[in-house]
Amino acid sequence: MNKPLLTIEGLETQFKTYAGMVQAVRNVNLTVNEGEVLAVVGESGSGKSVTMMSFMRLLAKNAVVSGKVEFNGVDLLKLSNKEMSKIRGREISMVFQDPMTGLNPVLTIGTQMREGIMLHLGLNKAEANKRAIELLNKVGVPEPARRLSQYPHEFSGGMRQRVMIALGLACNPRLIIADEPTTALDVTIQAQILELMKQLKKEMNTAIILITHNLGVVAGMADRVAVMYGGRVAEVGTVHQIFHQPRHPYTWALLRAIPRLDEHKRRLESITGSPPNMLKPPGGCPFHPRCAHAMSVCTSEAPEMTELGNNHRAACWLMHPDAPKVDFNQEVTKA
Amino acid sequence: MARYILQRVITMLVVAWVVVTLTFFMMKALPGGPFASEKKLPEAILKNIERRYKLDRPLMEQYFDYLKNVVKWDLGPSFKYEGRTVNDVINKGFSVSAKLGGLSILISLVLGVPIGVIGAMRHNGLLDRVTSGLAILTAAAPSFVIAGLLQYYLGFKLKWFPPATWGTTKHYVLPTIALCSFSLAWLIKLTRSSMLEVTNQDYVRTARAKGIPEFWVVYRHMIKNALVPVIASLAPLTAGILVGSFIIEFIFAIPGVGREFVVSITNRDYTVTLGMTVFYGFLLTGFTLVGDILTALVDPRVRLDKEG
Repeated sequence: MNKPLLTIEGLETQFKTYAGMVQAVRNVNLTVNEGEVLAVVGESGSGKSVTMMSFMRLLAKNAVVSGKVEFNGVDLLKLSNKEMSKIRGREISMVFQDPMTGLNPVLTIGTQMREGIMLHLGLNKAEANKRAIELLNKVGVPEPARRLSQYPHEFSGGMRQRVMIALGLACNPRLIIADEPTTALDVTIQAQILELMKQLKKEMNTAIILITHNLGVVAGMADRVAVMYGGRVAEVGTVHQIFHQPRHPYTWALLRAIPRLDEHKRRLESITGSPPNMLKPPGGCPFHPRCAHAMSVCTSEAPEMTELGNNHRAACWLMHPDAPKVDFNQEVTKA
Repeated sequence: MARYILQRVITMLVVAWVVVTLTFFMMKALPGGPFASEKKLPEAILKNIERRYKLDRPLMEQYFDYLKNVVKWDLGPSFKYEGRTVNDVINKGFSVSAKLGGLSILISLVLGVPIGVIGAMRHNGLLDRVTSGLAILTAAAPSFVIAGLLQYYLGFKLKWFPPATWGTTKHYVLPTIALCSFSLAWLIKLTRSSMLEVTNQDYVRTARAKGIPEFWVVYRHMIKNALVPVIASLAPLTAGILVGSFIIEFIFAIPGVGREFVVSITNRDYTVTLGMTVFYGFLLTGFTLVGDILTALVDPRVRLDKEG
């Protein structure tokens, strides 16, 4: 269970644009263990998806990626395109967030499901068809045999997302990257899809990286959580650590922004200010312009990751022995 | 699918009927006529001629007669040339025009689509820059300018190809280049921009994430989608070639329908003009129908019936 499957070390991703270099991902270090669910949370533009797309090598040509991403002992960033395409879909698969545009409108669901299966598992068309029916059954698409000959526009949003998940599962991958798999769906379907993913993970011992900005989903699904901000990892730890002993001011702010049923006397908190412009990120800690606890050091120097015990780490100057002590319980619950 | 085609066919028939009716009454509303020459004909002779061509009958009777004959594909006699029917004129001219026009459409498609695809794949590469530059240039230059330049340089100066008239294979070269230049340029640009748009679609990323080799991503996932607007433009493209052929056939003195059409108008040979308009109308609605069916074949969202 605790054997690392994917290790991201010092990942940096920049985009060349006419306006300059956009620093989308800056020195990201993350580990995913076998059979575990790592949730990656953060605002839009915090670099969650780009981190994943970087090592899947699915970014546009203007992206410059450096660092080391070891999957199963192999550095993905050093593989040839051909070697990489043997890993994509086979060992690591992706489930994308928008089921309405993620499927090809002019090909049948069957064609789209079969191609990966035939390619990676070396099955013939009839066998691939059988496998596709099996998969659709598993993700709860009724009448799978008939559905295979249909086109995406004949499916509802929830059904399409199920197809996307079935595509992700097609070759029994060891890691699934689910990029906001439920964002485009309504709440009841969301719950069904998450339940489905949880069940599949249990059955097949697949590791999942779940990208989301829904902390409710995180609490229900994840084993560990990485909080990202401004292209960096702000804090990483177990679900318990992140929800009950958060140490980074950005995590506090995120937790304060969850509506709660047991409290009705206060307005819902929002984080003031806006995410940093990654073309010219603020010096020092990227969160300092919006941070209530910012000190002078925060504006000039980026904080290192501090180990807080039991693999709980946070990048914040408040972790420094000389920094003022802030009580996180108060910070999360204060009105 | 069958219902979709049936629906399209019915629409096309209605369009064809509207074309026939409109042209018929517009021609009748025009002043003058094939027999109105500078020398005024005696009243009795004019009456005789009109009786012979049934022009003395009531208008509606003439109209229904004409409609009946069009259904039988009999477009009537020429007023100007004794013994020639409009069908003769079309049959004789169209065998030439169809070769010229068909060849132009074929060349535009066979060259335009692949060049557009490759241009988009090597976006901003050398080939892309050269072809898009040329495409803009030819799309901006009218075909008669290109025709003139071709005649002068390749025909008259270098004497590589005959500068005009019709006959051997060599006669095809210059008019075909002049006729297809615009549609070729247009197709290159259309295919290229359509491919570039498809490149950034989510489903292309999904395909790549499945680990499919790049060739299949382009071939199976991108080209089919990119071709939808290209196929939809088939009908207007054909229309462009048809209209273009009037000018090109005239410049190169090619005995095609286009030239006969223009001549018939100057001759006020009304039945010929009317027949040709109807013929072109039918041709165009036919191509539109083919384009619609092809679009439906490629893009399942267009088909209307429940079971794909």
